[in-house]
Amino acid sequence: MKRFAVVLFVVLAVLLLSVVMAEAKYRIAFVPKLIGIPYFNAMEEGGKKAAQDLDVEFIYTGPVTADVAKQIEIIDNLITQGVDAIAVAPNDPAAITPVLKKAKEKGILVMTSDTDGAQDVRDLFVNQALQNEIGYTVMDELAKAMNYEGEFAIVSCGPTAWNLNIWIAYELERLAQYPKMKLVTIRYAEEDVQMAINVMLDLINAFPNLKGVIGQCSTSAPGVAEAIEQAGKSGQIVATGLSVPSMMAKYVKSGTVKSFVLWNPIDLGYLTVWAAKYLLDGNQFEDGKEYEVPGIETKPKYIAKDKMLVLGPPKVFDASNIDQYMFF
Amino acid sequence: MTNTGFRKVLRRREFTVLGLIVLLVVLFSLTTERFMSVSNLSNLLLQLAGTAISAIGMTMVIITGGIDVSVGSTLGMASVVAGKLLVGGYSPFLVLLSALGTGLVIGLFNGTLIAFGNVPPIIVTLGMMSILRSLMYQLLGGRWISGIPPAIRVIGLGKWLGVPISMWITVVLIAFFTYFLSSRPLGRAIYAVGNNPEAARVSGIDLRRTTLFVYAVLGALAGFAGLVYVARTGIVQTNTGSGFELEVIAAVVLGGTSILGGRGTIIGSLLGAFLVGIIKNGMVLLNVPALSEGLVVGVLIILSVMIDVIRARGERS
Repeated sequence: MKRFAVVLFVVLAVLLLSVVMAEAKYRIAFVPKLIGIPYFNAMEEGGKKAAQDLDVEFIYTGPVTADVAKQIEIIDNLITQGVDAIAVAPNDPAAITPVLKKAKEKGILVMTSDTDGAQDVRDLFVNQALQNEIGYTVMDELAKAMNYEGEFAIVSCGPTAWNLNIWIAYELERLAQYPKMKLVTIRYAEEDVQMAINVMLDLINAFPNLKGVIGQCSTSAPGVAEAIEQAGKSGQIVATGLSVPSMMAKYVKSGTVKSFVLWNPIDLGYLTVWAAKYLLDGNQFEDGKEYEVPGIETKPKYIAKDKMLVLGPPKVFDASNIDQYMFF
Repeated sequence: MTNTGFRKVLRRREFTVLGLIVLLVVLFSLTTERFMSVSNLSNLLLQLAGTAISAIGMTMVIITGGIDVSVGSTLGMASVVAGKLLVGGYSPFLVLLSALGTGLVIGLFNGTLIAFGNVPPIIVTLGMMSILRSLMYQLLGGRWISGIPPAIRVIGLGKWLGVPISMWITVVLIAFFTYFLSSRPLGRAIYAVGNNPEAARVSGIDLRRTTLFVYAVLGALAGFAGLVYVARTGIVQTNTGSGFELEVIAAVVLGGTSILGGRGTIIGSLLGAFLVGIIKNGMVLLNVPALSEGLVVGVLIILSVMIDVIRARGERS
């Protein structure tokens, strides 16, 4: 009887302890712009992996379309649930501010990731890469592929897209280092593959000496590569740009694209959860310091004046590594 | 007699557009060496095929006094269906039927609501545009379709006698529907409905059936244009075809079809599509800065219609 009491006591104690332990687990939520697209699925995967490694609970929830109102509603629900940290990739940087303020007032750690917003409210922005480094890397990759000489064009997407224009500005800044290269024109093809193909076919005719082209967004990069192949100019004109591996693989395999640029969204998801845990543990980031984060391939750096943690330099995809990243 | 016949031709809006086209062709041939090259001209034709095919149906819809702004989404939806089936390994013939069928069903749906539900065309098709876009989104889940098998791509990329196959198909369709509009009773009824619905009804034309017919034809043609799109680009994205409706409507209106209905020809719409296509192509060849391209296109569109209006006024006085 006595032995039974001891066993019972131990069992109860273990149960109680495990409940307390479970309670102590941080609950970290990430709200993407929308769910169900490969890019954010990849971020989710990274977040899950981090949650496992760091023993926290990871909640991934978001709207099915890139809807501002739905996103706010979801964040509101997370506040009610009393999570410890909310990271969000806002659909509207300004509209998200009041609900994030509310979260902060409830003592929740508030972060943005992938896309910034609510700068005066959020505690941290997990940034995939610096704008200037993205521009520089794209220009460097183009220069390498063109053997540092010849005419090239840029096919961008929306002429008003702020991030694309900033990247182009940095590409042109970097161009000064390659005196034998000449930009002949910048064209815009909206977020539409067919329009990018049309524009590029016209450019091939207009500039017979064209040696290279930058497809500035995820639709124009495969579009210009497709046009080069349709015109039978593969080998004569090289394409690079910013896009996703699943769309570019075909052109990397055929050699029309030697390399292209993006970042690793899995690592971005991982870093988001890691950073939340780091801050919840009571740590502070130091300005200019590079952090050793086990589980990701880069060394993130903190920039205090923007309260921003940068994943690292942009990632270059080419024939040697593209097969590992085909899921986004 | 021949004199008045000739004058009649000169007076037509199509002639103004044709004149502008000739003028631009001469201008671009003189200022750029590359405009008259075979590769550039064949590019131009490839780019225009999808617009021209849909413009056939749009001309008929606008002649009845209607409009269809869902044509871009219809093209997109048909591309998604065709793309999915092609990647799934289905036979090109079945894919062709499915693309046409998808467009046809959408067109019938639009037509039914407009003809039998008495809902204004702009409302029905605006709603349809949004519904289809959302459906496409759910079907694709944000992921693009790629890896279209090369066999089907002949429709989008192949050439016969130096002219793209898609353009040959366009020419056949235009010839058929031009004959249909001018010589078949149902074709004549389309003009009658647009000119004066009341008179048309009294003279025994079935207004509802005619309306249903034009939207159904436009739907099927947009579906076919979707297949051409897939064959040409090899990629289907969630926003495939967005903005396409404006291109088609611009070609039709520029080609002389009255937005109020009752007047217009398919050849005119083809010329309208050519005019915009040549302007855009020439802007790139001349390396006009991209941001002022829209300005030039817009000015030329307004100018070409103004010339027409001024000439019409001159003739009346």
